[in-house]
Amino acid sequence: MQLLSLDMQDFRNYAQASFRPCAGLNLVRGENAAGKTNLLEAIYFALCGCSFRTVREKEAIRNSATGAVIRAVFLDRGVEKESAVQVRPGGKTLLLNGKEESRRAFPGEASLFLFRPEDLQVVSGAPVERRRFLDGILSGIVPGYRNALQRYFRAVGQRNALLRQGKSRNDALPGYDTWTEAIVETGSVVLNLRIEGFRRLAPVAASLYRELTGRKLVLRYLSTVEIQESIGLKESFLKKILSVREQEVLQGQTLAGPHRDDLLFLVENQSLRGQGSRGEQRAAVLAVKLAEAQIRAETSSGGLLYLLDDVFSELGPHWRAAVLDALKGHQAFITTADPAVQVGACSFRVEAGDIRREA
Amino acid sequence: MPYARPVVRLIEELKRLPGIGPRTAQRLALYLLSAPREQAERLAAAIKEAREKVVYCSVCGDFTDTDPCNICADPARDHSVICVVEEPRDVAAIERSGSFRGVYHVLGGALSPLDGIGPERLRIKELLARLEKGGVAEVVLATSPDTEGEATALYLQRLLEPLGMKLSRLAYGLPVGAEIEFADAQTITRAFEGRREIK
Ligand SMILES: [Zn+2]
Repeated sequence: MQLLSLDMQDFRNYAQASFRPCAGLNLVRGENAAGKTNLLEAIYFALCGCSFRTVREKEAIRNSATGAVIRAVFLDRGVEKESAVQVRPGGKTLLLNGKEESRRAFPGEASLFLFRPEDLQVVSGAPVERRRFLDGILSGIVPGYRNALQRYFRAVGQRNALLRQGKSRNDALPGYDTWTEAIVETGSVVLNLRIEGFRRLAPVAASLYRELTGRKLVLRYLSTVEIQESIGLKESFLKKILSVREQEVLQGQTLAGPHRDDLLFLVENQSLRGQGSRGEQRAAVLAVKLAEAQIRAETSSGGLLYLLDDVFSELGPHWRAAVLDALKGHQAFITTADPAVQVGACSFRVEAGDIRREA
Repeated sequence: MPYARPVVRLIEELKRLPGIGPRTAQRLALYLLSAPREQAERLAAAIKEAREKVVYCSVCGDFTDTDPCNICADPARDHSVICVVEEPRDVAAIERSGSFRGVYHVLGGALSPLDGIGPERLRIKELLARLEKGGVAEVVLATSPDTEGEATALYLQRLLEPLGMKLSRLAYGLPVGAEIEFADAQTITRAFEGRREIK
């Protein structure tokens, strides 16, 4: 995947801007709030047909404008394509090679790698953020994962709606067995795929971490379902879910399953949550993201486009070198507010809604 | 800028239709007003006639203008095989494919607690009554391959298993989330041919 050109109109803080990036590394410099992340968002929009920052996409329309337009020309497995995204207050229109298309026709998340500074906070954040972090990574490295997850979430949503009805009525919940079986069925698929992805991701992350810090990183998956080998995953899941039925009806929520699981980061057998320094936590997350990049680069057929937002801040030289190493042979966009960052790349400056190539 | 009251009312009514947003509603309303008068009247008459003459078939629950419907009344169809679907549109799609010679049972939806739809809201009692009468050798569960359709099939499977007739589920090669309605005839035919026995 390679972006050839990007044009924005009334998108975020850009009234009108054109961007002609280089094939390899592109460094995007600018002060905070100058619009660096907005530029990455526009690239993501052009390739995926949606934002990575918000589901309320009309927020992306520049103040006082009636709509935003992003146009991009890119190479997808060697074929030149053109996409256009028009965001209006009432909705959006997606065009691919001039034809109106759904988001599914766009290259999508499989064509790019995204790093957001928020990722670095997952170690100390809420479990839901760690799950989202893990799900985002596994979607890229385990075929069928995203789909399985959506099916499971949908079934959990249905089952929760049923459990909420249980609060106001004392008789048996009609369909309880069915929806329980449905989440055990779909949830087991998710868990199996998670374990599969986890087994690929964790050792790569650990070996990168050891290389860069000399210390031992262990990722541990904390499942709400204790899997008993003798009865297998599905039976274990079912047993667990039936054991919490009363609490579930009381709370109107499905209380066990992959949507409640957690991820633990351990360095030298110490949990980083709570104990770890900020630097240690960032390094652990970055090791996991680099492992993702490495695994995806090996398996992706069309080449990845990298969007790295502020990845270099507070990062030592070893880590910077490791990041740059991962990007070799791919097109990448790295934003930074740090004038000291020198990476020998095409350099652009973002200022007052304008993008200029630097000498 | 605001439209005359009858125009606003027309837009409001169109907006209630599934898949019609405010912009489309406005476009349709303005179209109907600028099109030849007879065209708009034909549409109004067609809606009125359809609502007056079309009823649910008392046997299968499909839309019909004769009761029982043409399919239920047809002696040439195989009444020993019942295909259970969610909506009348599914019957229409399967009929277009010409791949099924049995009869249907329309549930009127799928299990969806989020929409307040439990088993009691679907035409399941009616299905059981049909099966009790005997003469049914196979029930084909042809609900959608989405979460709700799968759950509905699962519910029916558990309910019908003790009755002893053959149960089968369509083998969808459809992408997840796709509905029968949108599948082409070839896909539907394959789904019927490859239907797997679940009991
Ligand atoms: Zn009928």
